[in-house]
Amino acid sequence: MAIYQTGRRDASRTNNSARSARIYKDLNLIFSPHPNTRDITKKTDIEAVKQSVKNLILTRHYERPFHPEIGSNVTDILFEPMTPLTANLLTKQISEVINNFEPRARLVSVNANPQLDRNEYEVTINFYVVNIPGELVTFTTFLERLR
Amino acid sequence: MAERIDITELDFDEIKANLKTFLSKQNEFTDYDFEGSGMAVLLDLLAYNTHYQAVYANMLANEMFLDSADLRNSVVSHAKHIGYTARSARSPFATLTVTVNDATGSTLTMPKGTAFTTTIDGVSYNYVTNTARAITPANGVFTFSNVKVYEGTLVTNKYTVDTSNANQRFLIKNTNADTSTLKVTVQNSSSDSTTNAFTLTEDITSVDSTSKVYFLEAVEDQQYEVKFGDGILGQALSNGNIVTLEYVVTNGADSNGATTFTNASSIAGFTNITVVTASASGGGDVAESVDSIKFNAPKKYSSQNRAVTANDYKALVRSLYANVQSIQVWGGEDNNPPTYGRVFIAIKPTSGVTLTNSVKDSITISLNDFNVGSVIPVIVDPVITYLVPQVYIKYDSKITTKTDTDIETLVTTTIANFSTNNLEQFGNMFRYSKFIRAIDDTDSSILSNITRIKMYQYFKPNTSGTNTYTINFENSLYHPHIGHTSILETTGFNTNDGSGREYFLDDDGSGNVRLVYFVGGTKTVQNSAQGTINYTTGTITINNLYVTAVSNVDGATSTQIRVTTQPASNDIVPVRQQLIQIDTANMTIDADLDTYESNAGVGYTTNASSYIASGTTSSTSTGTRTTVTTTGAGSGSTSSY
Repeated sequence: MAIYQTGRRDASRTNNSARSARIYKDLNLIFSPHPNTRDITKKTDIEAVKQSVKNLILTRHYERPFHPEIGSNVTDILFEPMTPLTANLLTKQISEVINNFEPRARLVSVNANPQLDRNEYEVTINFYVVNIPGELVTFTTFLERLR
Repeated sequence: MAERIDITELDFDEIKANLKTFLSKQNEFTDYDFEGSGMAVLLDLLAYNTHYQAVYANMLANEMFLDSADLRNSVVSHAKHIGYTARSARSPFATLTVTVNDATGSTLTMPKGTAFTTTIDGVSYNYVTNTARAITPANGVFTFSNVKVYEGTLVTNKYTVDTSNANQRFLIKNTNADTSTLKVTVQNSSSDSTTNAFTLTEDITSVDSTSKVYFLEAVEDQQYEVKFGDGILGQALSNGNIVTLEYVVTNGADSNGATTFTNASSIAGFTNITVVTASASGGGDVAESVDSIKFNAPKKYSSQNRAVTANDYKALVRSLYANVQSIQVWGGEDNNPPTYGRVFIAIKPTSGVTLTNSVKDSITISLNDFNVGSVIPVIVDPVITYLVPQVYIKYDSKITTKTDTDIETLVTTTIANFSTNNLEQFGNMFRYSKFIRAIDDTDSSILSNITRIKMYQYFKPNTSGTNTYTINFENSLYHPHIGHTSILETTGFNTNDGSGREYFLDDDGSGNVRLVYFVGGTKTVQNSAQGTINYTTGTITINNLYVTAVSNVDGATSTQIRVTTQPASNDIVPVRQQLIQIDTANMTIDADLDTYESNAGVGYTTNASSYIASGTTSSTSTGTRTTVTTTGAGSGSTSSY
């Protein structure tokens, strides 16, 4: 019987899902100490996958040692003229890197919305985490060129 | 049980895989095998660091040993520890006779650095003298004889000795410098022009505190460093001394073989100069390669700077003269005839067949420093025995689209490679079975081959007098019975009998060499005892022959006569200075479709004439001819194999 988790819009508050077949546990790359134990903190389940997706999008080719194929061209695209075509290219790049390197995310859609006034793209990524099939994760971020 | 930890991998991915295996035993962090995870970043960092250290440690260990070192600097340094100085580039040198026709006065000086030019393949090369020569006229003619000139540019480096600088080095920085031309002089100071020449030493036993010697060391980046004594081993330098290093910087082997030189400038203002080449240029080479240093350094060390065994001579000659392709050394007691007190050295240079006389002299003089007192080294030219194969091939047209010509071309290449790879070195014998196997293996469609071997040598007759010539094949010759048909043939020549006939040599099957000529295709014997042929030792002696002119060989003007014969054995052994080489220009290769295989043993008549030409032995026997009768399913017939 399929299990659906509904009504959880904000995945950041649903770290530990008791329904997961396997709990994803990852380092929190912020490396902020745990308020009580002062140990490093963890990210789990949906939060871990979101962190992974974010890492992959922000990784450029040749950034990872010996594995130039890992990463996306997003950083370069941000320096291209902001047009609908570029936005489309951006969505393609993001889809590609997630499909290739993040097997935990079943991608539903990627939408890049150019914010011409602010010179940035509003990127919304919808995906399911494979061990929590009932919950659509929506991850929104702004991509802006800095230098 | 604890998981075994692998620590032998060096590759980044394998190290990372090991770390993942390690992490798989815990469940604190489980995302280590997703590439976007934070753990992957940490694993990349750890694996990269481990890889970095592993490569460093591996390279360090490699470079610590002469056998495994890759970097030239490491190899040179290891060689230095066992007393071997890597050889620098060598400048080709030639010997010239220079006549200054319009010179006047009582003496004439050719200054150091006098330039001559030559052209090889359209490129002009500069040759210079590295010593000044002064002569007086002989019968009014100013002739400089035996002028040794080196290809390249004469370069001078000067250093002022600063004893307060502990790191001062006297470097020859040019990587193409020829250190054999190096001259080191030391001037006392800028105000005292007294100059002393320092000489190279490799032997500290003859050096004391006042010896004016320098030591030469190969150092980093293909440079050489001149080192002076410390006041105990060799005279030490003083503050303010001016050290002058003078040497030739060369283009290496590029201008080896230059025979025509012209003067590039006047000599003492006189310009009517005639330059005659006494000895063509040779001996040039690039700096010793890493592989060569690895090969030669241990051998030089084992010879302990003394030439005693044959291998000592081989190692020493290779270090003294760069342009060696193959070398053979044997004692006089093994020579034919035995010559005691001599050691014979045969050298095949990388270009050409023989060394020039000046190069031979130069090597012999250099060897004197290493010889045992009573032994005299003699450098002899290699004697090349050429083999002429006649190859008959049968191939199967059903498994190839190649034509007769294609097969013949492939086999020609195979034979040329066989000669290069298996022969053409001293001591490399011709093994018949390997040869025919190589032919069979050339193409899968080749079913069989029948191959006969002839061999020949050249000798150069003296065209101005009567001479006796000995040609030594050092292998038994084919002689099945007394009175057997002639196995000896030569190219033509004229003698001094005034008849104008073109003569040849053959044998009578009984050990005599005959002088013959042809009239309308009929052989006529002019002298039935011109010489002897020893079928057992392979020695041919031609007595009292006065050759006035030599006929063309292979359509080209020649000064040599080719003597062809047939070996008794198909395996041919080179002895002493003999080298075996296949004459690919004169060999015969004949590929034919095989018509027997398809009939599978029925309905045909064997006829070996398509395989074997008449009048000579087949390759399947060595020295005997057998008649066999085949009585198969086809009609009976006789065939010779």
